[in-house]
Order: sequence, then structure tokens, then C-alpha cells
Amino acid sequence: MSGNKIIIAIALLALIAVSAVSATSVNRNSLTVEGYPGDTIRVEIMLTGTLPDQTGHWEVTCKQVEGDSEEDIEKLNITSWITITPVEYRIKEGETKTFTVEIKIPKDAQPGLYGATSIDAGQPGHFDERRTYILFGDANTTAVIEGEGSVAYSGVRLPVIVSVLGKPNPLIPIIKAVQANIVSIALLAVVIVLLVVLLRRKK
Amino acid sequence: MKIGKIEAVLLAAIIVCGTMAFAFPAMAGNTALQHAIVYATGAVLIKDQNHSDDVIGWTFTGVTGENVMDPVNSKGETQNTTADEPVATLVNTNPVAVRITLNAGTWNPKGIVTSQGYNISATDNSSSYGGSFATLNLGSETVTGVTIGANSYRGLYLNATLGSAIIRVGVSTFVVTCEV
Repeated sequence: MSGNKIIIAIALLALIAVSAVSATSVNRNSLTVEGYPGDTIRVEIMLTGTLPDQTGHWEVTCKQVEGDSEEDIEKLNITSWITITPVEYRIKEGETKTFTVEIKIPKDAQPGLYGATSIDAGQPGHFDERRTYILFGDANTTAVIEGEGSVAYSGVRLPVIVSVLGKPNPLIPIIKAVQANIVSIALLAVVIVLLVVLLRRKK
Repeated sequence: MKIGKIEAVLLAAIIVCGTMAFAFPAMAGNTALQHAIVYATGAVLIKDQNHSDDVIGWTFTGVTGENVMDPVNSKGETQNTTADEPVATLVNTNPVAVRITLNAGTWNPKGIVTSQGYNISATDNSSSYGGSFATLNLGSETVTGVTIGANSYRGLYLNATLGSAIIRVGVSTFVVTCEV
């Protein structure tokens, strides 16, 4: 009888393995952008490898928080706006890889703040104000290939905060151009006036 | 050629405008050299009990229904909650505090583990066991609410309740992410 128990115990023995490795660094800790409905905003992000050979991927995720109403969640969960290319990567020590994050603001989006509860959510320490993130995770390449899935990943989460602006002012590009070239424009005006005066005097 | 008053004024205006356009950059007489150092944000390191060497895995061993609280890490160190010896330490090498989120993936085969828990030491630069395990949401993110201070570490304790043993070996991914 006791022999049977030992056999059963051995048969039920489960060996479960999880592997864990670290770590890659990223050149920013949040994405705070603004744009108009219908705009597509592109942001470049760079990863730098700090370990011999890592394999990883990017994800877009939304943090669920108790107390957020359905109306809130509509503005806070903007995962469907975001794509990252390439999604998969392999990075070696000292190597830098660039990724493009594309944020497509829907044409029917109302002006306001999306992805977070505060415009300051991207600042260090503002954890509770964040909802939508992009995140990367990677692990040792050999472990990924040979580990039959028993590999753990470590990575960094970057909150995404989008300010959707109201209808754009068509004069804004002109105003910006004037502001940027104010001295040249003043000089040109003076020259024109001078020429006009000289021409009139000659007559 | 005689220059009239109007021409003289306009020429002076041109000279002033031109001078302003070209001279402004050179007008900064007293300058201060500024330095800005921006650190990249690094992922949290997963280390052994002495927070020195990388840990590449840990193993739960037990029988069906058992709550395994003594996983062994890849360095051969056994988790011991009474002796404050974690299965791994989470090391934050960033110059600012980071908040930790865990994501324990679903197990393959499904059902080999019915539940999992975690405990992260309550204070920085300590591996002490906090007294109880919190539940991990298998297959989704678990926001721990734990913040590890700049250049600090904390102990990570894990447990697992084992389920079916028809297939005896199970695997899962375990993701540790941090945010600044």
C-alpha cells in the first residue's frame, strides 16, 4: 500500500521551469504627443542592447483600473490607435535598433486628452495617471530558441499620452513662417519702400 | 550724387536691420556652459539572492494540489521565506524609482498550475519576505504597485499551486516590466 503511494506521488510529480533574463535600455520613458483628428503621428524609439544576444518584441497594452467608467475607458484605451514597426527584434550588446511608433488619431476623435488621466502622466513617478502603454520585453536568444517557451522576459513600459486638438487654424503655418523670418521680412519691406521712393523721385 | 533725407533714413534702417540680423548671435557676451545628462531607461535586472549574478530560471517541484513555496533558481538557490531568501532579486539600475508590473503567462499544458502568487520585499535593498503572497493573474498583467528606488533592489518570492500531473513538465513565460 505504502509502495503504491510512493509510485503515485512520483507519477504526479511536476517539474515546472521558468527562465528569467534581463535587460535592454530605451532612449525615452514616455510618449507625449499632440495632433488633430485624422493626423498620423510618427515617433522613433531606440533600444540599446546591454547583453550579448537578446530576442524580444513590442506590445501595446491598456492598464485596467477600478473606478474608470466606460466613458473614461473609451478615452483612456487607445491601443487601437497605435502600431509599432518592427514588432519583433533581435539585439546584441552595444547595438542600437530604431523602431517607429505610429499613432493614428481617428477622424471623429473629439478634442481632449487620450491614453492618460493627466497631461503630466509622462513625467517620472506619475504612475497612477497612465493607462495606455507600449512595452518591450526581451530574453536571451538561446533560451528563446532552446527553452521550449520556458523563458522569462524583462522590459520597460512607456505610457502614451495623446492631446487631440480642435480644428486647426489655417493661418498657423503662415504665422509660424513670419515669426521664424521676422528680421528678413522687415529688411525686405524696407528695401521695397526704398525702391518705391527712389523710383517716384526719378519720375 | 546727392542723397536726400528719406534715402538716408531708409539706408540707416537697412543698416540697422542688417546689423541686427547678423549680430544677434554674437551679442551673447557672458555665456555659461551647460551640461545635460539624460539616462536611458533600463529594464530591471533579475539576479540571484546576493543580487550579483543573473538568474536564468527557477523550478517548482511538487505533487498535485501542493502549494510549492520553495522554488529553486538556476543557481541552485532555494527560496526560503522563513530565512528571507527569495528565488530572485529585482535590481533597478536606473537613477530614478521604477514601478514593477508582472505578467505570468498561462501555463503549457494548461492546468498544470492552477494558481500562482508573488511577494516583493516591502523596502528597498532588502530581501525580507513580506508575510503573504498576492495572487498573480495568470495570462494577464498584475500591477504590483511596488516601486523600487533608484539603484536599489528587492527580493522576489513566488509560489505555485500545482494541478494536473498527466503531463509532468510545464512551462510558462514570466515577464517583469518597469516604468519610470
